[in-house]
This record gives sequence, C-alpha cells and structure tokens, in this order.
Amino acid sequence: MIRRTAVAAAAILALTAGPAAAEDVTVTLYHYQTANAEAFRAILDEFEAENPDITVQDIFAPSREITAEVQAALAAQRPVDVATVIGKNIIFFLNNTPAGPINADREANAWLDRYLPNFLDLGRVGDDIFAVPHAYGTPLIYYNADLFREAGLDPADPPQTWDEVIAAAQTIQEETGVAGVAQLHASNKDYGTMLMVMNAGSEYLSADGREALFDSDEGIAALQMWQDMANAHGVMPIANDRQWSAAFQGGQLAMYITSSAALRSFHAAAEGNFELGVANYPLFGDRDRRVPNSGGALMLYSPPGERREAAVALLEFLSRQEISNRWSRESGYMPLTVDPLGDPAMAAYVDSFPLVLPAIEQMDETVPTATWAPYGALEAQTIVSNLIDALWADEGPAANLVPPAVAEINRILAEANPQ
Amino acid sequence: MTVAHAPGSLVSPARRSRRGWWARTASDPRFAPWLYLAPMLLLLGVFTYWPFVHTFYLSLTEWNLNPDQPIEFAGIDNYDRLVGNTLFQAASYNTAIYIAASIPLKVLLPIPFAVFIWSLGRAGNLYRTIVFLPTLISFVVVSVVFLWLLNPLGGLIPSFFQQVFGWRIGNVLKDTSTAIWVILLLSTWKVIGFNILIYLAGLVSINRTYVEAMRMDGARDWTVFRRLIWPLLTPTTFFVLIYTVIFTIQQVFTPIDILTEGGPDSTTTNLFYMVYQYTFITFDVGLGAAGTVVLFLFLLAITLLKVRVLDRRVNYQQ
Amino acid sequence: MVLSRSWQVVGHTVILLLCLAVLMPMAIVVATSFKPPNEVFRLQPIPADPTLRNYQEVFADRAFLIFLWNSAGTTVLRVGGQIFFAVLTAYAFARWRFPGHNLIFAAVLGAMMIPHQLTMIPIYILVAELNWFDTWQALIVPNLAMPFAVFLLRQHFLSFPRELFDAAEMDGAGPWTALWRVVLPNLKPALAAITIVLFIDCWNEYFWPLLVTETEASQTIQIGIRRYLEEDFADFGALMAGVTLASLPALAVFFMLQRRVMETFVGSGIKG
Repeated sequence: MIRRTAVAAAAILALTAGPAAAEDVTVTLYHYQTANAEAFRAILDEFEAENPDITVQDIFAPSREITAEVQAALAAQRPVDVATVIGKNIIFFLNNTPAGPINADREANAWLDRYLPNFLDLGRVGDDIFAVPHAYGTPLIYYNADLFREAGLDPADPPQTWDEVIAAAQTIQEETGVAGVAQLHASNKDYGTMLMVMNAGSEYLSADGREALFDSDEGIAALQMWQDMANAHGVMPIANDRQWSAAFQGGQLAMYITSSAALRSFHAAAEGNFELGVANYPLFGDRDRRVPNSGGALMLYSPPGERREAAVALLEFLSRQEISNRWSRESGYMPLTVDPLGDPAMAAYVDSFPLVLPAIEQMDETVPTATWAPYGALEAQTIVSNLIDALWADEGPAANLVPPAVAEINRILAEANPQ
Repeated sequence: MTVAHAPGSLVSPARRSRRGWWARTASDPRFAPWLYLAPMLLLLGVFTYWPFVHTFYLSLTEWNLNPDQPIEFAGIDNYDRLVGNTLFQAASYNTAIYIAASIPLKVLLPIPFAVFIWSLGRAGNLYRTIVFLPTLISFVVVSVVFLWLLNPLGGLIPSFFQQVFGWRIGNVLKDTSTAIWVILLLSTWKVIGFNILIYLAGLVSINRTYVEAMRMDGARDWTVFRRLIWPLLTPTTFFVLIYTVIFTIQQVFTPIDILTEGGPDSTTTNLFYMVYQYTFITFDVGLGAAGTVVLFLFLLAITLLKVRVLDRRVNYQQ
Repeated sequence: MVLSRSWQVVGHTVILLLCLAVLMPMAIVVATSFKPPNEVFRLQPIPADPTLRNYQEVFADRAFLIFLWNSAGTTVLRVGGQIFFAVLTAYAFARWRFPGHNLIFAAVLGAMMIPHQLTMIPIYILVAELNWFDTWQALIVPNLAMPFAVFLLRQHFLSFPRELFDAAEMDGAGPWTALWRVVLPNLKPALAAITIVLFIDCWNEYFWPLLVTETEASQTIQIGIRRYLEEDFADFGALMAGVTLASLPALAVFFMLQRRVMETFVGSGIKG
C-alpha cells in the first residue's frame, strides 16, 4: 500500500510538473471574464501573434474573489504582471501592494492619452497613472417596453429624472400590477448607495477615504428618496440584487437600474418575452449626471525588466481604439477611448444595436468610484448597508438616520486609521 | 457484529523467525503506536497546527498581506478593536443563535424521521434516498435556487402562500426577525438527510425482537421510543451533536454569502463569515486572525462543555 | 416494528412534505438546465421549449472534461489518502495505550475546530513556498489529515472485540498484518460511510481550489461551474446543466456505497 501510494504520488508529480522554461517572456494576467473570456482570449491571441516572443498566461478568478486572489498571489510572491482590480480597490491596492506606475517613462507611454481622461482619474496619483481602464460599467435604466405600452406610457420616451422614474413606476403598478422599479444596491457592498448620493450632488467619501460625507443635504435628500420609493411611493419592492435582476428578466419588474455590463444577459433573457429598453441613469432634479463607474481596471505588477516591458506592450495593445472598441462590443463594457464612435466599425455597431448608445453617452459623466481608507472599511460598509435596511424598513426619516450612521462610520475610520 | 476471520494461521512460524529489527520495532508497543500516528501528526502539525500558530501570531500584528510591507507587532490591539466593534458583537450573538437553534433543527428533528423510516423497514429506502439528495448538490446553486423561490417578486413560495392562504409574506430575507431562520432552515434542508442516515445506521442495530417483546407487554409507540430507542440512540445523538456544533458555523457560510451577505442589519452574519470578510475582502489580516482565534476558543469551550456534560450520561447508559 | 395507524398517517404525511421540500429545488435545477435563456426566469417550472443547448454549451467548453478529470483524480487520491491515514491513526488509538494517549487524541480532535478556511493564508503561503501552485498535490496534500474520520473510526474501534486483536497476536501476526487481515475487513461498512462523506466533501469543495488552481492543469469542476455564475453575466441555464452533471458522480458513489453505509454502524461504536 505504501509503495502504491508512493507510485501514485510520483505519478502525480510527473503529471503536474511544469514544462521546462521557454525562452519566451510570459506575462501573467489575472481577470474575471467568464461570458467574455473567449472574446478576451482572442484579443490576447492576436497580441501574441504580433509579439511571438511573448506568451500571455491568463488566470481567471471570479470577480467577487479576484481581489483576494491577486492579493494572496502577491503575498506568496507568485508572478503577477497585470491584474484586474475592482474600481473601489484601486486606491487600496496602491497603498498596500507594490503596483508600479504605468507611465514611468512619459514619452514611451503617450498611448495612455488614448483613454478618456476622466477614466484615468481612478488610477491617477499626481502625475503617475497606476491603473488603465479595462472593464468599466456604468449604471443604466433597463426597462420593459411592453409594460410601458400596457400602462399607456411611451417607451420611446423613457423617464429622464428620478421624479419621472417614480411617476412611471406608479403608473405601471396601477395599470399592470407589476412592480415598478429598483436600483442595484449591494454590488461591491455599497456601490448603490454611493451612486445614489453622488448623482444627487453629494460627495460620498473624502478623497483619502477617511471620512464619509454623505450626511450633506443632497445626500440625505437622495437617501430619503430611496426610502420613499420603498415606502411612501411604494414603487420599489424590497429585495436584493439577484432577486431584482431575476424578476426583471422574468418580466416581473418594470425598470431595473444596474450596470451596462448586464446588457447582453438581459437582451438574451428578453428575447421572445418582452421588448427591452435602455435609458440613461436618472437625473436628480436639475443636477448634472454624476455616476461612479463600476467594474475593474488593469494594474501593473511586473518587476522592471523584460517582463515589465512585455506587460506594458500588452497594455498598449489593449489601448488601441480598434481593440478597445472591439472589446466593448463583445463584452458590453463601456468603450474606453476618446471619441469611440470615430471608429467606423463602432459607429456601424451602434447603428445596428442602438441599446448600447446610452452607455457611450454616459462616458463623459463618469466619475471615479469612491474608495475607503485601508482599515475599518468592512465595519463602515456594514453600517451603510444596515442604514439602507433601516431606511427601507421605515425606521425613521433619512434626516434622523443618516447623520448618526455617518458619525459612527467616521468614528470607526478615525480609530482604525490613525493619522 | 459478525467478525470475519481469515481462515488458518495468519503468519507462518518460519516467517516469524525471520522478523528483523524493523518488524520488531513495528510491533513493540513502546514504538509501534508512534509509527502509526506519525503521518497524521505530521500532517496536522504542518497543515493545521502550524498555520493556526501562525494565525495566532498574525492576530498580534498589523499586516495587509503585502510582502513589501513589514509586519508590525501590535500586541492585543486587534483583540481590543474586535471586542469594541458592533459587527463582532452581532456576529458573536448570531453565532450563539446558529449553534443553539441547530440543536433542535439538525440534531433532534432528524430523529423522528429516522425512527419512522426505520419502522417502515425496506419500504423506507425510497424516503431515505430522497432526503439524502441535498447532501450531494452544490450549496451555491441550492442557495441561488432558494433566492428565486423566495423572491418577493413572483417567487414560487410567496405566490403559493398568497394564492392558497391569502397571506402576503414580505421579503423574509430582508426582515430582521426572519432572515436568520431562513438561513437556518436552508442549512437544515441541506444536512437533514445526512443526519437521518446517521441515525438510521444507529437504529439498524436495535434488535427488533425487543420492540416486539415490549409491544407484547402492551407498550405503546411513545413508550417504546422513550424506554428503548432513545437510550440506545444516545451515543449517535452525541456524535451528531458534536459535529453539528463544530460544522454548523461553516455550513451556513454559503447561504449567508448568497442570500443575505450578513444583513439585514447584521442579523445573519456570524464569526466565520466576519473572519472571511476581514481576511479576504478588506485584507485586515490581523483582525481576521484575531477573529479566528476567538472562534476557535468559542468552539473549544462549547465542545468541552458538551463532552463534560454528555460523556458522563452516555457512559452511564452504556 | 409497526407503528400504530395514526402515527403512520402522521409520519407519511410529514415525510412526504419533507420529500417535496427536498425535491422541488432539485427539480428546478434540473428543469432550468433544459431551458433556453429567455425562459430561465419565467415562472412556470417546466420548460416550454426544452433544449439541450445548455448541455451542449457545457460540453463544447472542452475544459469541462478536463475539470472533470481533475476533480475525479484529486478526489480519489485525496479520499484514499485521508482514509488510509485516518485508519492508521484510529488503529493506534484503539490498539495501544501509550504515554500521552489522551492528550494526543485531544490534539487530533481539536484540529476539527480549526477549519482550514480560516487558516488559509498561512497554508497558502506554505504551498507557495513548496512551489505547488496549480498542481494536484496542492489540492491533495494539505487536506490529507481528516480528524473527523479519525473520530468516526475510533468510535467503531471502541466496540471492536479486544479478543480479535489478541487472537491475531496469538497467530503471530504483527499489528500491521492484523490491521490488514483482521481489522479492515470488519470495518468495510464504516469505511464505505466515511468514503461517501469524504467524497462529497471533496467533490463539492470550492474555496481552496479557487485559491490554488490557476489553469486546466488543476482546476476542478466546482471552479469550472463557477464561471457561469458571474454577476451580470450569470448563465443560469449552463450553470444548472453543469451542476446537474457535476452531481452525478457524487450520486453514483452514494448509490454504490449506501448499502454498506446502512450496515456501518450496526453493532458498532456509534451505538456504544
């Protein structure tokens, strides 16, 4: 038995021993693409064809766990050259991992200017850029055009402001009995809350992430509106993101506000069931739209030398408008470069599939996701999540519930992150 | 229990005389047990206890997993931060509820089912197989399916109650008084068939002629259960109790993560989920490690308590 | 034993409800696996336009078969190893009294209270130092010690008639021979039960493989299925098809071994 075990063990070793090191440079890239994995791999293959001495090893990790995987790989000093990092974690990664500035050599990295400048802001520290846009989503209203018609509304003229959203939801509920509207809530713990208050003109967090600022008048007004949607107006059924998403796709919810990245799934689910409409994220009163991006950016971890050169070459390749637009078309993420429709292929695509237009229109209105200070974020986000639960449960008006929650968050952040 | 015994002598005398140093050592009671224990002790040492000691060390430090950043010694700061923290308080309280509620749901509830299936004899096989099925399927997917079933927007369960009983049940996962019970019921759903199987295995050994004899004496079902079955089942119950207590906190991780993420108002999170969030979501490694140590002590205390209280009873009844 | 009529009625009713509660979600998983994408979220559980495309999609992903192979290989080796080491350990505790017996037994059982999920970071770093990433041994070796199995086996050994050890000894068999010739044959049912438990545990494991596997060299089926559950892109049809397929081996093992399991605890340690 022992001998047999030993033989088996030897067999495993033989089976799993890595191939001999090639002369090539290998770039290790972490990503969370699944439905888009093939499209992404095709782009990487094209890059390899252009650079025969570079191999790109792509490692998949689910989006919920990719941060942990990259962090663990770095801790174990395993090779990481390029990593997809969720937007809200970028500042954290800047402070806590050995990420390198991508534009260390300014002249050689002029290609970064191909990206929309506000998209680069998320990874910008002074003049250095640490993250390039890659899989950015923006929140949109998805709506069930059939229910609009049934309720006597014009699906060609979707609501533009929150007031109109709420009014449309009320009409639909009265006329059809189908629930009105919901906005994603817990994605990355508190993205929905951040979105709601930032679009209303409030800051969510201070720039260093050490102070919550959404107890401003605008922030309270936005959260009061969210509470009213669930209670006073009664247009928002209380549920979670997965349930709303399933209900919308099953025709049980008239409007659902979530990332542009959901377009492809929603389009497939709607086929033969109802006509899908897409509109821009609602405006808060007469304020300009201000939406934080969701999704992830690419950060650079290669040590200086061959591997870094190869990794930068890959990043340059991905920034080319033709490639970036193709990636956008195949994935549903926002196009990332300046004037994406200048590319005839993209313009033709938008003509043939106009549902992607709202996402492109919102590119200029995108602001960087707010990010928390390194310590105390879990407690703080839990307080935010509990605050929203309390608001929906109608435990008191926003003006009473928000200030103490913000004060508690700031107390915790100050304690956990001494200056 | 019937004991299989290989026919004839196991080892010929000739072979015995050739036993060398190794064979003698291997059967010398002074050394032999250690030879048998060595692999397990080595594995536990390297992959359980050393990581635990390392975790204990990390709990006294401040570190974010970054190899370039020095690990700073922080003394009991992390424990201090933990104890004063409302999330930890909620998680500890819920952990106690998860454990306490698991005893009636996962330890006691399977017993009547097992006894009933056992009473059916062969006919019970189908029931036994069906209730075991949840053990086999991925809990992640089961949780997703229950999310659909419980969806307040047209989910099958709310629709059923609405149409059949006219009850409007709101979103049970967003109600602070019901969410933890949904998680508990779902984890019971997942494990009940397995526990029934274990109890059945314990019941199979009960000699049915005793039962018939008691019946002849005019004993009713309840008396048979209380006087004969329950006492004979006690050691099995003890076993189920111990592992339910230890594993329940890990077992509810998946439904918490998919159904509630610890909410609403932190009423479903537990120490295990909290530690996971600290360590793998916010990379507060020191705090996560401190939580791990507390969780270990928690489990240890409960287990010791149970062993002390129950071991005596079990032995007494043997 | 025959229960009285009224108990029978109550019993059948309650257990039928339990079976319904068990089967309904299972049926939804299987039914959804036959639905096209535009039906996945429809309320009626039966697919209106049943399709095999989800299964085709899963199999078209040629990696699926590789995931299956990785899962099967690592599970068999790991469960085999777990049982082997657990048997040795439980045997040592049952057969001999030695200095520190209780202390070491407590140490083995105490390990049950330190779930690997919580000490994953040190284990992860250890695996990195061993250079085991993306290999089968990373999935197998750190999980070979299974105190739970030791606990269960020892319960069985407790009821093992001492005379059996003595008889084997009289025949001149050393403890090693006695273990293989006398003890193990009598443990088959217990081993079958433990195999089911360990197999299911290993087959459905998710978090550890997620951390240490990277490519098709070692990724398991659960990691493969997880690809269909990305937020925003969740392909539930394929997910359910993948899960249905992935559950089949566990189901097969259960059916093969369940007879044995029923004999497992017969007159054995669990009974006391």
